[in-house]
Amino acid sequence: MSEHDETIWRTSSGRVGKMMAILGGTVIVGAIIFFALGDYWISELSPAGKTFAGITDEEDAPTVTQTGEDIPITLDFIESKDFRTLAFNALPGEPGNNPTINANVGDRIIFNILNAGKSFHAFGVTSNEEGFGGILSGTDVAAANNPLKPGDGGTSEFIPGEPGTYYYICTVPGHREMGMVGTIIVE
Amino acid sequence: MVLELRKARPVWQIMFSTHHTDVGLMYLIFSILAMFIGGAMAIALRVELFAPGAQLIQDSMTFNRLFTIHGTTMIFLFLLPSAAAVGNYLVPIMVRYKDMAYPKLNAIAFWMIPPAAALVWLGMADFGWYANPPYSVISSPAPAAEMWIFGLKILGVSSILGSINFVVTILKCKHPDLSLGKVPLLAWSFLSSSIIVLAAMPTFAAALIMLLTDRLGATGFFNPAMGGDPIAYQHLFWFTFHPEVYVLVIPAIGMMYEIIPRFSRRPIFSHGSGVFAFVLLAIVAFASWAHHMFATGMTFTEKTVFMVGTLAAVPASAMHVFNFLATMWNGRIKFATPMMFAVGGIALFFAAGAGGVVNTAMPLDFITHDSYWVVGHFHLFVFGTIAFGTIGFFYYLFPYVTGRMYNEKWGVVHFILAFVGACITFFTQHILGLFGMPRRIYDYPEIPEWVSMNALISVGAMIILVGMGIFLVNLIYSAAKGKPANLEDPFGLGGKYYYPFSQRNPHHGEGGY
Amino acid sequence: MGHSNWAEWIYVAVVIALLVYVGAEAWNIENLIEHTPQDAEIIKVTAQQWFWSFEHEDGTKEVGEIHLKKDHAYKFEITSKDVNHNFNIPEFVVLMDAVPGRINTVWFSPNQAGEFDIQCREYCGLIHYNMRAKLIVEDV
Repeated sequence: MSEHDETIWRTSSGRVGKMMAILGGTVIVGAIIFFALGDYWISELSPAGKTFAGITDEEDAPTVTQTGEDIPITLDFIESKDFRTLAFNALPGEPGNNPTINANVGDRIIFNILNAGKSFHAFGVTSNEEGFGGILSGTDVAAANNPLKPGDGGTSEFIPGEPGTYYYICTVPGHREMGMVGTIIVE
Repeated sequence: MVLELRKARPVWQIMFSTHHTDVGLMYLIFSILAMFIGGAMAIALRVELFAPGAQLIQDSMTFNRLFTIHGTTMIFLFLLPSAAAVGNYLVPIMVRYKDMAYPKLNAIAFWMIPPAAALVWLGMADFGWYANPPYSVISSPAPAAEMWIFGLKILGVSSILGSINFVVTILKCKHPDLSLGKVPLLAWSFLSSSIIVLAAMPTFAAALIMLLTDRLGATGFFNPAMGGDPIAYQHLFWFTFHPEVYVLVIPAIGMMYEIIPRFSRRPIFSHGSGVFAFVLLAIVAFASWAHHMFATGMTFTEKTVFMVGTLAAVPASAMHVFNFLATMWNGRIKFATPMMFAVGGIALFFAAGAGGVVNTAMPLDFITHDSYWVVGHFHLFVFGTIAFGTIGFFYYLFPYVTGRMYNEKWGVVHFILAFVGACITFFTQHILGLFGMPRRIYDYPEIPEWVSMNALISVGAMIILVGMGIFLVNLIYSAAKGKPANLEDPFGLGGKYYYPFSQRNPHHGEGGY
Repeated sequence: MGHSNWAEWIYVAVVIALLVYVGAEAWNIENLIEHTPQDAEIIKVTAQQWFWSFEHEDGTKEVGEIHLKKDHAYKFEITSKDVNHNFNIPEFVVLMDAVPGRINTVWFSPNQAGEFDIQCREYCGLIHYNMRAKLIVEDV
């Protein structure tokens, strides 16, 4: 079978080089664009997930300008030893548990948030009476699907434009029901 | 041989080739690469689980992504391509044809895999390799989930194209003098696994599209908030993937059918039983899918039907075990590395199957479901049987592919470490499951039995790691510097090593096999 | 085929006999297990990411723990509010998926007093590994 001792070339090296350059170039450019969009590692929920969580694209009430005073408050996420009771600052029954904030319309409440627990948490203010949705824009620190790790913290602020009762909560599903909720009474 | 590292062929010549030996070689290299990547993930998981508390991995999201991609990699990027490697290389030879039926399609089917692998690996989805909704629809982060879905879509198409090729090659391109009944059992194993793929895979392709449209919010197939049923997905998934596990195991058993008769220096006990068992297994594989769903709230009658369907597949597998043992009986056995892996594989296959019978007994499933028992059980199959059979067969093919012999002593060391490690790791996981430890958990409470068993399991995993490291070094070093093999009879068995009809790779000058 | 294969036939027969036995025994026992006693008290179990809540027949709610009485029959009606979970009390072999949009039932009667673990046995996300609760069985 010596007629086949000659190697059979399927294509030329020039062509191969061009094809590799095109394919490789596409991959590299695509990767740069992709990773430049940043923070993709733990990222958004799917559209169905957002619907489920009650997160919609427009939530934004018109931005309210501050006409009152600053109210800074420190809120630490804490957990009971068995992880079944969660709270801000102190466990239920102890002084300082889930402090109620009183404010006037136009005041700026500045939240200093720290995850002092061992689990994951995230922060937000909502007017919803239950659940983890309806977070008002600008009030969020981290999010349920990109939460604060133990020791992490952040700040956010809330300028109420309407009087009423608002709630500051941990936005990780279930944590509000387990105790991580406090009231903001705005007059 | 197609892989000569000393006077290497130009890489692009292999990459652009459509010859079945070259495509087989590319599948082989890719699958070994994927095996080590998946293995590295497994080691990361086991280091983390060595003790309670965070060790290597600081958050549960990373852990969840790792176990998902570990499973996906091992099944779709290691086991399926390694079977394709062996099949591509040998099926045309076994049916005495010059190439696969559709060589260009063959190459396309291979080249779809690296981009799909890139999607899966870069995405690092976190929903477990089953991708069960509603979690995968409403709770799993993007774009990881979408990348996984697209990656698996591509892999599914690749599988189907490969299967079409195998079926047509074996049924239509075989030599006119060769009757189907006389076709070697390894080729039969590819025929039956390919037919299973063709029947089962489209269901999962549909499920993937449904999952994607559900995620986009356009449909509510599996989203109860939109009137869907999450359990429907599980039916679709398992309808594909229960038969799929047979697609994984059948080629490995076929590979054992090559090794065991040769190394026992006896003909196979009953070729007819082997063919019958393969065909029966391919059919009965479809009767048992919902045994994965016994805990979803099925009725008694439904569970009974699937229990019976599962039990019905056991005799076919048992026939293979009998065939192997009867072949070895009274044989003049040469325990070279391939034979050790094959025999070790049969032993672990038997243990895996026994554990499976426990799972399918309906009340016992309430103890074992979604616990480490299941993890131990399926790893005895995928590692103990399939990986053992495959690795043994890689050793067997080594002289054929490279023209050189691997180092036998190190091969034996690899086997001992792999076997001992597998026993320590996976049998202990069975017991851990009986003590109630769930699977897919990043951390566990300080229950003394769990702590000690997890530590033992992690040690077992390290033993396997050392063995695999030796394997890698052996492969690379021997391919470059190993002793040239006697291609007529590399293992000194006496008699013809391979098929009387050998293949000629058109790129190769002299001696091209 | 010039050799006798009586051994193979006997082997297959033995395997089939064993499997028939396993199947029949399993069928028998499952039949017994699935019969919920009439007087079982109904406990509603709700699973959500990542904790358990319970409601007794009289409306009492408990979160993260449940108090039951020894040697009383209880039937759990299990559902989920978001994704699949699995309600599992390993020490009493209670195991059933919590599927949103669906109520699954399983019954048991605790025959020992004490504290027992409840855990989630279906992957449900970030804190699946710590989705635990306590079962407290009281001697009455």
